[in-house]
Amino acid sequence: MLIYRRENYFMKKNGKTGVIKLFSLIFAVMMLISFASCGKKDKDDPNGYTLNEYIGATPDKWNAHTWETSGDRYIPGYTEIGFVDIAYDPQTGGWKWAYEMADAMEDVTADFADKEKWGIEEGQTGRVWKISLNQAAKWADGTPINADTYIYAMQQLLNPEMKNYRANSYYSDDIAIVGAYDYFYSGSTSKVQNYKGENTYVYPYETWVLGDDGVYTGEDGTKLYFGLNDVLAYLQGESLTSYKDYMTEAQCGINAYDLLAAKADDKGYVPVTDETKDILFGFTSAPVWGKETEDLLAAYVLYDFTFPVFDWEGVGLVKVDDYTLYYICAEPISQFNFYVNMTSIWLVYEKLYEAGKSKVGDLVATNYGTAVNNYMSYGPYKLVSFEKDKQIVFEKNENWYGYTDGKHEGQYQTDKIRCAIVSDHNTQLELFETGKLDSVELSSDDMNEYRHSDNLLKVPQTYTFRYFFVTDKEVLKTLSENASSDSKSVNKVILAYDDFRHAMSLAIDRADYVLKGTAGHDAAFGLINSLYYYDIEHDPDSVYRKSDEAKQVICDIYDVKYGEGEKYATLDEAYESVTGYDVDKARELFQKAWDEAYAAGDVKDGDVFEFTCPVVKKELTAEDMTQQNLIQGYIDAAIAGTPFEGKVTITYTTNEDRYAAVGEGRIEMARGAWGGGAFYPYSMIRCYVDPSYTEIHERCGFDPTQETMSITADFDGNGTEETLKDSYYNWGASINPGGKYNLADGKLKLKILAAIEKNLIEQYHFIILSSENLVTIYSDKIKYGTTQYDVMYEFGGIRWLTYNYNNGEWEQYVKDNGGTLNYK
Amino acid sequence: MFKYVLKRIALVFVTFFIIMTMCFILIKLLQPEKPMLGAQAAMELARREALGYNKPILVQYAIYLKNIVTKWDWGTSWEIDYMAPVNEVIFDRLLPTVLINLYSMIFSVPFGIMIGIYAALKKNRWQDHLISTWIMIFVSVPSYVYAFIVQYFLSYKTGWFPLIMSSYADAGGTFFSWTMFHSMVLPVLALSFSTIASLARYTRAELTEVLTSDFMLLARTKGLTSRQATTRHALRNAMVPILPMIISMFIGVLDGSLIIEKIFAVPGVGGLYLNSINLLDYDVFMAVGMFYTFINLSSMIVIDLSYGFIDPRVRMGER
Amino acid sequence: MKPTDLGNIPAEKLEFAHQSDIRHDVKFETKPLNYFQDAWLRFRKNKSSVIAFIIIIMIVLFAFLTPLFSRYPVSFSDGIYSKKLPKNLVLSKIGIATGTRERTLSDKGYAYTLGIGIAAADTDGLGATKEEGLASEFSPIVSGGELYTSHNKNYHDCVIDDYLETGFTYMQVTQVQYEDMLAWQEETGRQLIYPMVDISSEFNFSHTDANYWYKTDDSGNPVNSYGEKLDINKDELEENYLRNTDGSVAFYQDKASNMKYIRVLYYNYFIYKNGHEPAFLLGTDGSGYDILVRLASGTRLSLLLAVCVSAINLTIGAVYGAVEGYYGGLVDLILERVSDIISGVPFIIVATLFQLHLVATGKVSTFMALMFAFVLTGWLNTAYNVRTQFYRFKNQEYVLAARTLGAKDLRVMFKHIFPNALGTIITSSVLVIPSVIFSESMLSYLGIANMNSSTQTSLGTMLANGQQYLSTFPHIIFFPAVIISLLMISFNLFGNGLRDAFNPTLRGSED
Repeated sequence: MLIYRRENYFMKKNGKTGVIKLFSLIFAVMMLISFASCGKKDKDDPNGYTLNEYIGATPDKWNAHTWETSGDRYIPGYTEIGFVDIAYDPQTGGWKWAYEMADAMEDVTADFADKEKWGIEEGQTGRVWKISLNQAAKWADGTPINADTYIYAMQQLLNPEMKNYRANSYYSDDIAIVGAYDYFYSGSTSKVQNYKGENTYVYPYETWVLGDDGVYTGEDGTKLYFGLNDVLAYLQGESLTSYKDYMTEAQCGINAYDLLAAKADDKGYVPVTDETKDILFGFTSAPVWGKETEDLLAAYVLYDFTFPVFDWEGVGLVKVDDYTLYYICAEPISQFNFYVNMTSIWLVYEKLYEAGKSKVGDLVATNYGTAVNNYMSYGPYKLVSFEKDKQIVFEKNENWYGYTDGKHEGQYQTDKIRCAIVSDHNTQLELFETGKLDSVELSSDDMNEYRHSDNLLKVPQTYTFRYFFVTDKEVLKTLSENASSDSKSVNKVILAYDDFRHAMSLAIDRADYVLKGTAGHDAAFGLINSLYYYDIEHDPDSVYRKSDEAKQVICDIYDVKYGEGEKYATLDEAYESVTGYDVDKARELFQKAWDEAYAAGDVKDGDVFEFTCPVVKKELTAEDMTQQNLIQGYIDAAIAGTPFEGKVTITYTTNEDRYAAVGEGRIEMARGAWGGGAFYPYSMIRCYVDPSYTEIHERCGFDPTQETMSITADFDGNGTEETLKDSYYNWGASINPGGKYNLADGKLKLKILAAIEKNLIEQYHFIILSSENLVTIYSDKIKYGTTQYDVMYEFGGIRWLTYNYNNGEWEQYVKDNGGTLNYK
Repeated sequence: MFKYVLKRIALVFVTFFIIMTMCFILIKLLQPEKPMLGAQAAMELARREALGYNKPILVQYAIYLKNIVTKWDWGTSWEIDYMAPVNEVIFDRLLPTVLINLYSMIFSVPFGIMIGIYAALKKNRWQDHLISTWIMIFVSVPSYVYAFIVQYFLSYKTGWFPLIMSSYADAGGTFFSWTMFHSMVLPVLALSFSTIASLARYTRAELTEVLTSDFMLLARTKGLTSRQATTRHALRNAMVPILPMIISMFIGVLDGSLIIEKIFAVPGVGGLYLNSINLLDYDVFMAVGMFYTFINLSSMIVIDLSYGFIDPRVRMGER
Repeated sequence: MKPTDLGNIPAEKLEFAHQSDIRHDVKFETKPLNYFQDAWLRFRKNKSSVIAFIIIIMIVLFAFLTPLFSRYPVSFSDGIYSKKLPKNLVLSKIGIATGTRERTLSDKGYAYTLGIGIAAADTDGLGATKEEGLASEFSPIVSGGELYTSHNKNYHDCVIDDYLETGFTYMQVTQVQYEDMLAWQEETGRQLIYPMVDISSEFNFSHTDANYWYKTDDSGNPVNSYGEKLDINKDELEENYLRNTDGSVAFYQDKASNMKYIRVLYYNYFIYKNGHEPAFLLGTDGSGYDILVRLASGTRLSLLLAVCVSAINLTIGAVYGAVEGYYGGLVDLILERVSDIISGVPFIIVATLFQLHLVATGKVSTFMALMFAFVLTGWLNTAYNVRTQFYRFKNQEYVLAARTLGAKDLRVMFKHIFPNALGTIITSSVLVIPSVIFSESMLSYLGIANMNSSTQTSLGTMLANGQQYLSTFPHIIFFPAVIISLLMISFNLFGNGLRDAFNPTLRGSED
């Protein structure tokens, strides 16, 4: 009633003109406020050198212990620096190690005093590294950096309570520190897997003891549990929950999953009792799961393992004196690999790190490295301002030793970096053309306009795009039934036939595909593209793809012969002639696949072969549609004249998690890419053969731990070649840290790597398509150290960036050109 | 009437609670991707377990409510702003959006109403047709088209205005400096087109309808001049649907336009909602969702009351 | 003569009258007008809405008839001729849709573009001069090209033909296809296969761009055989063709499994494949589809979707709003809260979940998913409008009168109140049609619903896809934007016309 009775609401009293008067009053007031308080204008210093660049999205955390995406590494790229850095060397035109936070790093394993304390055998090398620190190194606020700073930072990185994302690279990767694993897990109890690989168990089935409370235990009384949600090595990175559709009455005669889940605790652990044992066995012994014997139940068991309390003394990072450290590795590591890993280090600023700590659940986390006031730089530049979704500004860090130690003459000419956060591509182009940005990444559509510009830079990427398939016949049968309806019978089982997939690969005209469908991709025939070095340590131009072994792999796959009496004289000519495109052979193989499948009853006359292929996580772009139509066109051309004619269609879709969808047999194929690790193709190949390293995308129908392949090479160095047969998994492990041939000479490792690549491709569990290139254009204001891209130093980086104009001259240059520059 | 208002407010909280439960369950149905790299997968799973992600959804919801009721802690963001409390995530970004919308409101509301009145008064003459076609063009052309045109001609070609909104630091450490305002003119202009057009259209439509009603005839026969009749009677009646629109626009000041903020690089809340879904930042999504739901619900009441406020005969909710 | 002095009316004013002359209630001659005829009369008088109605009919005709006349089917796409300007052989004679644009080229760009003309003129690989190149019918340079320098850099302003600018492409063909091309060349006299470039030579800049037939350094500037830089304004370009073992110019390079790698002039290759010269009236979009025929199919789909959605929204909204508005009190409170809850549903998540569980697994088509997404919250507006109208008219005098006369609720609602509210309801529901198309473009811009496939597309998707080319190829977004603006304008005027037509109170009042 109060509101209602009021008479003098503004409308009535002032009438129409009143409304306008009132609004204009507010407007005037607002304008006054904004003009009155115009503060200090942050103009760039006219004769300084400011680099204006942009990124698409705001990095959310750049704490050295928890960064996840490459976007998070943007800020540390300027504000931090490693013990050593890979630097372009203008004199030689190649690269060299530049000592930064460390003055020297030597391998002192041979004459190291107490070897047995750290488990170092005689004659081993590459285990103990003596790091003499750069004594001039200081934080941006002037506090010196000495051995204690590094010790404190490592203690926080491995802190068991924090579970830092990056901790595993220091307790389980190539540069794992002795004792770090035990320190990280010290005192914590966690479920550990009973299965230790190749049917070895901690508690084998026969040794189980039935406790008086009805729960089975190992001989030493530790309680045993079945794990439902846990990722099991025996299931190659899968958990029982992901197979729960098979654990139903319809599939295996017993509602195994629901019965077990009823008995599980909130983390999904089911105590092993007679009853639960029989339920699980009901499922594992069923035909759909391959009639496993009773003793294999041990492979699904986990047990509580309390790690012994392990204090810091056991960890192999030892302070010798204020400016010297011993870094003791768990496994031997080559000098090159050690240096490469030391190009980024784990330093954090103690005061701010501790201040940012807070407890979330039973986990401790710190907000160090998420804003200007909770982060401290120690590299050539310091972080000055950070505005989310808007702008990041860096300025020269006066306390950096590099500006006064005389070792960095002619380097780091930039004195300020302003990075705008702009995600709209049109705006990025306009900022670049009006001189407000010094470089911009171009899309395929821009190439038409900027193709002739002299400021173009081509940046190849390590990613190789491929289709990968489900090849397990049973799973494909269920997928076919799900997709079929009474009106049409969809057949996906044909994908289990190697000839069919081989035919699809030969049907694709890769040269035409990259030209019409992609933004500057190159056609690819091998898994490892031309950015990978197989032995960069000893031979700087040991590019894998250019080696004879790698070329021979491609020639063998497409059986292109060379030598006298053949069309091509040399291996190089034969390699150059490979196109991977042979329509006639594809048609033959399609026919062969049809006959074989028809005879086996896997294919009927009325069948339609419709495959859905997710290619991206979220929205399909116009470019994806073009690529789908191109591939569909090639396949239609190849199946013309075969019983498949007009029946095979591939439709691109999106899927939140396409890699797992194919791996778990929910979708029959997808398109994806592996990449990264340009110096160790040996560790990259593990993505295809080592389930404990990553989830194998093709695992539904290809088990690298069981499938075997043979390689002929001179393994024992006695001059004669032997042929050895082993599983893909073992071959992959043999050329990685801890493997038999890890430290063998480069040639042998190369032969093994080439053989793995050849055998993988010839299975046709995947079809290789293309590898990616990015193109950027830079402004006339800046000059890069070199325009020849090298995977080690790219174009010389911020270290060698020089300027043709300072800020004032550049502004004038843009004005003279009428406000917009023409790079076309 | 007062009892009706109290009932409405009580019901707002009931609806709010139902929507909140629904949103929580829906977002939790979208499971985050399992990390691929073997060693780091264990780390990520441990972190999620510590935060209780793999508990049943209802249990998680109970914990979530307990935190809100006891400590008014709406959770922390893990994907958008690492470890920042959620209300900080929202309020850091709110000011730019509110400023831009406010400037646009002040500029476009009077302008839009005036155009609408002028068009209604000159009904079916050439001015009316001209204005109507202009309105249609602005309403029908997508916002990113005229945002681009404004940016292309007023900034790229002529250089009168900066291309993107200036940063806090460049504007001398204040949101209310000349450089900041100068850099905001383009986004404000781009936002105002659609507001002016829709306001003008509704004003014209309502006013034409009112002008033809019989009490206007009476007013004129009573001897009022056409200006007096229009202002005193016609406008007031035409305002019945217009004022609530203006109020809802004022409330709308809080939600930024995703596209305008993307093109002019405005660090606002425009993209926050969508971003929190793509990155599955649960707490941020819930907080942003509930923030807007609460505002919409409360603005509903204000709008319904304003009807009665303007036109005494219309009492909302009356039997 | 004031009416009061009736007494002394002069005698001659009066006349004798017969019984039959006296007028009583005589039947009207005019036919009775029912509600819709009356509405049609009023509608016809409003010129602007009649024009709008005609525009709508023309757009609908355009959407359904174009595929019959168009030379290209909907699924036609040519990867090379993507993002090409509108061109029509007939119209270009009078200067419309010529497919050409002005471009400022640097020396290197000018050499590259002029080079295409020279290569086209040099059919046997023995060399051709710049004049012959400019004169060739396949030279992309239509006019201009004079040299001028600004800021000590050379530039040439010229008018370039967008289609000819593509020039040459490399291609892999089987033996059969190769022979077929040779036969076609003889038959039509059009040169298709041109001399092959020595790709692996050190003077070749790019192994994928077939327009670099001349010797270049490693940044694409033309050089002579000693590697010295050439000045395009003075010197001729030096060819870098592949030679056979006997020194003659090679026209193909042998590849594995008897495939041939050849270099074709793409303009003629298009004629070879499609039988007619490349010309797209409205140009091509980002993936090489013909915009004209895609626009027709897109308009068809969008209109279909929009009409269905607005029809559904109208019915649900009207009924829901009517009940809510008329009964008021408790009913209104509860129904209002129900619609609050539904409007509180996080629309984007529901659409994503819907996409994830139903569309991705193929149970439901995208069209249905989109329909559901719109209908879920679409009807709320209509309901809200109807509710407001009902409150507005509920206490009007005539409604009270009808109720006192004993009319039941249903009759009062749909006979008395609803026709009055019909005006705003019609306007709002008619306006829903273009706004559905509009928000569909937002959905595909945000990546939630994608109607784009080779056989079908929608206006909204074309708008969203065109957004990325705004600064480089504005014609791609221009035509869908024109269509949607026309639809919006005409539906709006049409809606206004309808509202005035169906507004019974306006009967007889002439504007």
